[in-house]
Amino acid sequence: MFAPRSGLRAPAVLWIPGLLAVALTLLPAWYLVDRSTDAGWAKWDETLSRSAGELLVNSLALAAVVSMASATIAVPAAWLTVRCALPGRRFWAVALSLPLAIPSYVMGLTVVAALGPRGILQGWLEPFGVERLPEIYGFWGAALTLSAVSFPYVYLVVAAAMRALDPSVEEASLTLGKTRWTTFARVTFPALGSALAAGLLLVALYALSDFGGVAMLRYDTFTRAIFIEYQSSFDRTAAAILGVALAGVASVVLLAELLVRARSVERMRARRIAPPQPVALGRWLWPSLTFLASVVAVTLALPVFVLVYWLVRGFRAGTEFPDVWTSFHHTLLLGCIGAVVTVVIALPVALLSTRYGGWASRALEQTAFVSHALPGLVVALSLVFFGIGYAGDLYQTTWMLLLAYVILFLPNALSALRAPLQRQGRELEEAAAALGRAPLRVLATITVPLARPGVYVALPLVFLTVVKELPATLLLSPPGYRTLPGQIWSLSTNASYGAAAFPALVLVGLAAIPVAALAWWGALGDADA
Amino acid sequence: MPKAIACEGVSVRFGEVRALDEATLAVEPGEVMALLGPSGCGKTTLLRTIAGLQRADSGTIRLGADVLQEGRLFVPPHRRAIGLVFQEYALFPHLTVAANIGYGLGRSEASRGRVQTLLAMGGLQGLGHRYPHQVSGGQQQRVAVLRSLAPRPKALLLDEPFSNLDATLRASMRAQVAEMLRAEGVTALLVTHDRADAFSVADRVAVMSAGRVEQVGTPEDLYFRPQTMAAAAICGDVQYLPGVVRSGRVETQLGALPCTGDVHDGPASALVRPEWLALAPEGVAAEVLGASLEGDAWRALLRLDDGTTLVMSTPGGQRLDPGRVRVGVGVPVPVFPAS
Repeated sequence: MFAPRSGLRAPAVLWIPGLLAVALTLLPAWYLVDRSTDAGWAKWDETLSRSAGELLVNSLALAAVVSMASATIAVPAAWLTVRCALPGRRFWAVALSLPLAIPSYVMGLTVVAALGPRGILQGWLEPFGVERLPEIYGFWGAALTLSAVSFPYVYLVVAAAMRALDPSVEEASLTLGKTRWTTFARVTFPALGSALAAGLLLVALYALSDFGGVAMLRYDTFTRAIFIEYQSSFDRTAAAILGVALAGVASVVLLAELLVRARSVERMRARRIAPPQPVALGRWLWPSLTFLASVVAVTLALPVFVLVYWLVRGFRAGTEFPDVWTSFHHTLLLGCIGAVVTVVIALPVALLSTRYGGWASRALEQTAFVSHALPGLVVALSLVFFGIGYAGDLYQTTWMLLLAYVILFLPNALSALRAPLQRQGRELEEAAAALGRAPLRVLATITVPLARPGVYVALPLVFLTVVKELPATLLLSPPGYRTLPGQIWSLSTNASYGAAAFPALVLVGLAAIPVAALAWWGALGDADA
Repeated sequence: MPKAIACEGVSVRFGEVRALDEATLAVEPGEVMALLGPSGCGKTTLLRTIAGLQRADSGTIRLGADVLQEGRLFVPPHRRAIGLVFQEYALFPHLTVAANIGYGLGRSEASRGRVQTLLAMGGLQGLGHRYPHQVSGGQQQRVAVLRSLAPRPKALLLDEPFSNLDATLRASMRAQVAEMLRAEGVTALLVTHDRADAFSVADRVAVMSAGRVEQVGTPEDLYFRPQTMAAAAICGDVQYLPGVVRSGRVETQLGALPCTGDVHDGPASALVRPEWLALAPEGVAAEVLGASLEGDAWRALLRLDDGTTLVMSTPGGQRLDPGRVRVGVGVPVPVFPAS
């Protein structure tokens, strides 16, 4: 690609905060590498040869199965809700997105509380002489948990791609005498191919990085091993080494995702003439509705039911409930401040990468996505080292926690901010310059107002991810600072399902608000939650 | 008196592609000039270079007495006082029609009056509070022109201003835009690939091909007296007859035809546009093979007795039936050295 020499230059008001934001995101990566090498290479050899092979196989197997399961649910669901004449399409679109409001550790908690040794199913079956259910802990439990919470990522990506698809391409195939099925198989599906691949890799990345779900189901992956090394043996160098190894695996997946996504965007640039005629389902209507209803039942209704069940049982048994009000208050506050701070820091980077050309802007943007490859637990760990080593005043304050949220969710904020900015041609700034406006005035009167729709999506999105976040919240919260995720974690590791159900329901309710709002506006497809 | 816009030897390269190859152009004050050429000839690049949205690799650009780019000197676009109307209009989606037009003005009472005057001039009274997506395509186009005119630019550049309009709207918009430009007395440079746009709006036309300005002249100059075959093809339909030039006339199958300009004796190609052919009692015998109605004119295929075929265009009221006719050329023809 050639780079024409533009007459427009980005102002320093953008460059300086943009560079600072990127420097911030590079901090944990740099520090992690630094910390992992301080005990010499022999330590690497020892740590990796002890368990890394098994952890790698376990993590990759989980990522593969969760991706496949997500796609199996998500592709038909997306086609039904986007392209078919289905009663209550908008309701289904919201219901299929709502599992995003359930954190993986809450889903894990409900799976254990429903199917585990002292779970609901066991209790119901005991009168019939069933002493033991098949083991739920381990691979299949973890796979079930993560598939249920991560299929919406694939659903949203594929549904957005389907909406962006030029319907005249499908119509052309129909006029050439092909059936609906042939058209779907030979035109629609191949056109969705790269979007689907991007969605699958996103879910694989999620499964690799997840800590809460695998920990609840006691399945040994990198994240669980890192946490155990960190907490029980206090062998922090070993934790750092495993963190680097995990980040390496995640980077490969992320790189593949960026590559296929770049291709999918190019293919989808179509001019929408008229909305396509919805496909009539005919006798397939009831089977389709049953399919969607069972997906929503398993991923949404069932977990909520299990939580309510344990809550009611806890009330009846006189369980002592924790102080949920304080932790709700803290989590709400962290979510709001975290969202505002992250979006403010992401905005200059988003503006530079979408509204101004040049290699420097592109390099800045790509660097900002580096932290996407760092799982939350790894970032948290790195900030713990950093706090102890260099920032004693910050360590164990809520500032440190906010710093972790900013680093973790800057990529999410960026992709939400960039989507609407990319849809507006860059000649708007050129027009303003040709009307005699200096670069700063152009920024204030044209560029920033264009970013507004993206800000409206980014704020609730980051709020959602902050309130759900577990590992950084566990590792970096000031001592005695109660949060909903922290409370759920400590109660459920004690198997106090009744007590844990209360904060879990409150958290799901809180997280459901931004998800429902975004899904209702149809804004979720623009950004990965 | 200095030229309103002067480009000298302006070159722009995109990697291996020479978008502009020493392009040279001068626009007189108050003149409306059209830059006409096929797509990819560099005309939009020249426009963006004059506006300062694109830096030239070499060459000089002047606006009146001011130098805009020369050597290391580069005046940024917002200090040039050059208006630019974009092909897709680039109206600010978050501002109303009135706010779009007023964007380049201050916030004084006078500028509010200016916006009202311009709205009236564009026939947009009562639409000032609407947003760009709430007005029609033709109205959006006028908003784009008025927005650029509002700060009284020293020159106005228009990039394919009519390409997004359908044929009927196009004709009336040409007249309206020409009227707005002349009412403001602004020097304007309009880029188009459509010769009807160029000829109907512009005082003079500059023909561009392969990054260079081929010829500048009035529409009549370019149509009747093109200086290169490229210019001839850009400004009308072309067909050539081989011939030999002798003392100001070219001898062809259609007889010895008077030539335009000074031409050297020798073998040459004579340009005979289809509409220059006409029925002539004294002309050369030909056979009409067939005719079809294209828009408002007939196009007939003729065969001369030596087998040469020619296309002749006649007004819609004058249908040609197959059969024998006599034809001649009504105007002096441009000739080019035989290749």
